[in-house]
Order: sequence, then structure tokens, then C-alpha cells
Amino acid sequence: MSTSFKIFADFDKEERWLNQQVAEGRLVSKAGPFYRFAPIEPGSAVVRVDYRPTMSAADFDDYVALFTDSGWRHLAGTRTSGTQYFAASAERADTEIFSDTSSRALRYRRALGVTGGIAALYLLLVFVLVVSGNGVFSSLFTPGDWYLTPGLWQKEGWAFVGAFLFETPFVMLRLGGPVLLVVACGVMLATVAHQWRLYRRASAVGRTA
Amino acid sequence: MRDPYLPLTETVAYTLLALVEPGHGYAVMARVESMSDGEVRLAPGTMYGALENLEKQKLIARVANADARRKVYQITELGYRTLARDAERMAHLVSLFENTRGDASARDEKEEQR
Repeated sequence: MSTSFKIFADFDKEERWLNQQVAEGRLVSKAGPFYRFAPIEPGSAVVRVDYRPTMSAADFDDYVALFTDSGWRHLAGTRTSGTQYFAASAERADTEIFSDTSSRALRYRRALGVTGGIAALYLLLVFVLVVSGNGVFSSLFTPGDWYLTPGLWQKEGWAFVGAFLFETPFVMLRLGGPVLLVVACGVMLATVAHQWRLYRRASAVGRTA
Repeated sequence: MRDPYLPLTETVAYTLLALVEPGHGYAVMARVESMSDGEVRLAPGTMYGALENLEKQKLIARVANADARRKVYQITELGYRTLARDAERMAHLVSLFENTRGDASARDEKEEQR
């Protein structure tokens, strides 16, 4: 039993990495970002990744049953986890869970819907906090306002260093939350853009092939 | 206006044909494989998405079944009409193709005479 920390936005890269693990004798048994692995005969399985936004309990049963009927073992993923992991024996002739390019590409569009929703929520939160006139947000972009000690910037020598260091933890406490929110917002927007490109690329393969 | 559903993709056309009789996802996959003489083999990820989509478009509908784990579907009136129109469209294409074959053999004959 071993654990790895890893984050993927690209299902094809994730599949490649998981199959590389199989080649080294590790089969995924718990979904990321903290992946857990169980020992397996090296190279004896093929792992595939699907993405499904939250399903009802009945839909999830039906979904897993369809894969099981088709000879796939459900390795990891819950009905709310989004990503779903399946394995087939490496000797099987058809080791793909998608038989056409468009259904393969739609994986990214489903994920895009979910990350897009989260990004929109963060954006809305930032917008509301900025508009509500909460001074913290406007001062994020004017570093001169970060420190509130009167006359701090006029102090000199050790008096300045002392006052500066004394206030720094308070500045971090005051601005840390909003900074994290802005960073999270940026990360989600970048993920949306990345998945959109992946979706376009995956659908284009079908049109040219 | 032309039917927005047409032309049907191979996956959709075979799935609708397979669901003239009620069946769950894996039954559809097996029927499609045998109907196409092994040419079309649907994978489960593609099958699940297709069924979900066809149900949303009301071309197929769920029917009651004893097995709680597997959803069973059957083609709807709308689905059957759509399938019929696509068959007519393909029959027309086939007849046009047959004509070109006649033309082609006439042309070949002419070339031989020369």
C-alpha cells in the first residue's frame, strides 16, 4: 500500500501516469489528489478514467453496472467524486471505455461545467466583496495601505524594523483571506481555460482523423 | 425545416434499432455488435453517454424492470419516426449510388470500345 500526492486537470495525462504506475506494479485503489495504490502484477491491467458530475444513487448503480457488464472493474470514485477509475485485464482486445472521439472529448466538457461553476462562484464572491466597499480588497492593490501603524514609513533604523516586524503578522492575518480567495479564483479560471483547450483539442482529433 | 436529429450517427442509429425491444445498456452493446456483424463495438463510456442523451431528447424512454441496478430503455414514437426518416434518407443515397454504378459501367464499356 502506498500513497502519492498529484493533481491533474488532463484526464489523458492522468491515465498515462496511472498506467505507468501499473507497469511498476501499483494499481490505483483510491482517487486523488492523495492516490492510494495496491500491489498488482506489473503491466497486467489497463486503467481508464471517466468524468461524471454528481449522479443520483440509482444512476451511479446503473453506471457502474454497465461498466461491470462490459468487463471493467470499478477501482475508485464515488457518485460525487467526479472522476471514475476503471481497470480491464491487459489481455483484452478492446481496452477503451470510449468507442468514438466525440464521447471521449465530452469528458472534458462535463468537467468544464463543474470547474466553470466553481470559478463563477469565486468570481461572484470577489465581486461582492469589492463592491460592498470592504476596504481590504482595494488595499490589496495599494501596498502603501497594508500597514496601519501611524507614521511607520517615517520611522528610521531599529525603530522602523521593530514596528515593521511587529505589524507584519497582523497584515498577513488581515489580508491572507482575501489573497487566498483571489489566488483560488485565478487557479479556477486557469483550470477552466486549460480544460477548454483540452476539450477543443480532443474534439478536433475526431474531425481530422 | 429539416429534421434537426438527422443524419443520425452510427452509434445513435444502432442504439435506436437495438431498442425496438426493451433492453439495458449492456444488452444494447451486445445487440449492436451482432447486428453490425462485429463491425460496431460500443464501449461503455460511449454507451452510457448515448443513452443519457437519447433519453434527454425523448428518442428513448425508461421502462419498468425488476433489476433495480440496471436501467431499461425502449425506443419512443418520436425515436421510431426519426429512425424511419433516417432510413429513407439512406435509401435515397443508396439508390443514387446504384445509378452512378450504372453510369460507371456504361463508361467502362465505352472505354473498352475505344
